[in-house]
Amino acid sequence: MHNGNIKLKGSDERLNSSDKGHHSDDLMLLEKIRKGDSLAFELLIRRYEKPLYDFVVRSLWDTDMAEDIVQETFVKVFLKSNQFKGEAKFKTWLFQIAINQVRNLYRSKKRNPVNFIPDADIDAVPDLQTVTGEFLNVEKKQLMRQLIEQLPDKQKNVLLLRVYQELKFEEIAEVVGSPVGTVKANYHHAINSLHVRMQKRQSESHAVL
Amino acid sequence: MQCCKVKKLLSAYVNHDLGAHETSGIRTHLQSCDDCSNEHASLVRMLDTMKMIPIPEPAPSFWGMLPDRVRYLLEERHIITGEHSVRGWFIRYMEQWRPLLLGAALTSVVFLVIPVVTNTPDAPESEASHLSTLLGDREASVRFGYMDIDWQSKEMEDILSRLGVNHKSITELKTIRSETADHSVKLLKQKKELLRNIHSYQLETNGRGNFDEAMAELGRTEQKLLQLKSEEAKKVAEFLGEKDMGRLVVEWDVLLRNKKLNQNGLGGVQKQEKGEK
Repeated sequence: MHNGNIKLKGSDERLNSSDKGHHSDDLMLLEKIRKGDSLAFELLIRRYEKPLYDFVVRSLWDTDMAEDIVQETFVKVFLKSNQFKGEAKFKTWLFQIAINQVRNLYRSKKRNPVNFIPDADIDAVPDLQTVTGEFLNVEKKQLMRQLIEQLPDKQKNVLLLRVYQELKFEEIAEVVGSPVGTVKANYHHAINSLHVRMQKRQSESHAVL
Repeated sequence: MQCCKVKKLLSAYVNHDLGAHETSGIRTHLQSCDDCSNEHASLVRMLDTMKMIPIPEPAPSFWGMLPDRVRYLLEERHIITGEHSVRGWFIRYMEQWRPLLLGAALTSVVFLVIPVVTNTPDAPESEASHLSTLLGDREASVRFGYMDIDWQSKEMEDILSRLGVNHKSITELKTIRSETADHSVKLLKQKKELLRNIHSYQLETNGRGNFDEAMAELGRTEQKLLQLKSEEAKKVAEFLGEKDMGRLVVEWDVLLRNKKLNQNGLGGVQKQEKGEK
């Protein structure tokens, strides 16, 4: 009944496939988009919607704004699809557009970040012995999130792309338009600064307790 | 190696971003220095914590609606800028990225011939099979939820025949579809109307209240639609098997698009637009 041509892969699994194959798939989809293929555009959206949302929402910590930025980024992808030459990976180009969108948003709106405490962490009720430990864990994540948010934009973007998107430094350099050495320096500076501030804040809270 | 240097390089060490000499120097130092070793463990714990920070989820309908929303934004902007149609607008963009085509646009003959030649569709079956490699079962189910399939058409019968579905089963499939068709058409109309309203409320200074209400209603409509479609998708998937449903979805989409291209041709659309002007 079926010729077996369909590869049973979800988008998440595909993101782990080899870079080369992934890149040529992207190029093929973009070529089809240029020819007016709406299915190809939808597939491209499906392929990158989650990593893109992850990156944007971690930059803004506001779901409404993140949704808007994701939409706008894909609109830009469509409008600029003719400008993508395929020399870099599509994903780096996509994040480049997203970063510009976020920058434009900062310029046009005064940011009003939500004080987000994830439900998953609140709802998870551990057994009695681990209550204190779990609570501290939630607190730690919350603190960590706030400290990341306070990083200068250049450091924050590099950190988010490296830690959560697992891009190589060379790819991050393409996204942010800086030399690889600067990107590495920004990353290590961000990590060291976070580490120092985390340790400081934790020792302060222990002193209070 | 001294402690202050080791501490400075710890991030690069954890990230495997140092040369062999420095890496080995730090490793040796960590084995003999408790202070730096604790610092290293603390940094690794911090990176683990960082990776586990969860993100806030978007509105429930966001993922399902994203392609529609993007399409809608493109369409809306096109209307705002006074263009005639999304398709016409899209063709204008094609001209921009294809300078050769733009140059050749001096004559209407070029407009009629080049786009048609360059966009000659592949054979539906081979192209569907090609695209199928990019579309997993899960995505096929999602996509099915947003497709308007004409189960009564000859083309769909052909696709089903190719998938090996016999005549009796095709009739049964049509029955499954007709059970939900009216309801889903009504909901789709409602959704379109709401999206239009939402956009106009966004432009109004005092439209915030209406906007929020319409967004909430859109969420509810979307939920109903998703439920309806997922029930339908489940029935069809049970009937056909998920793999063949994936193939059906892609073949239908490719067929529809190629049909439109063959009917209008890009040059045809261009000509029509010129006529409108």
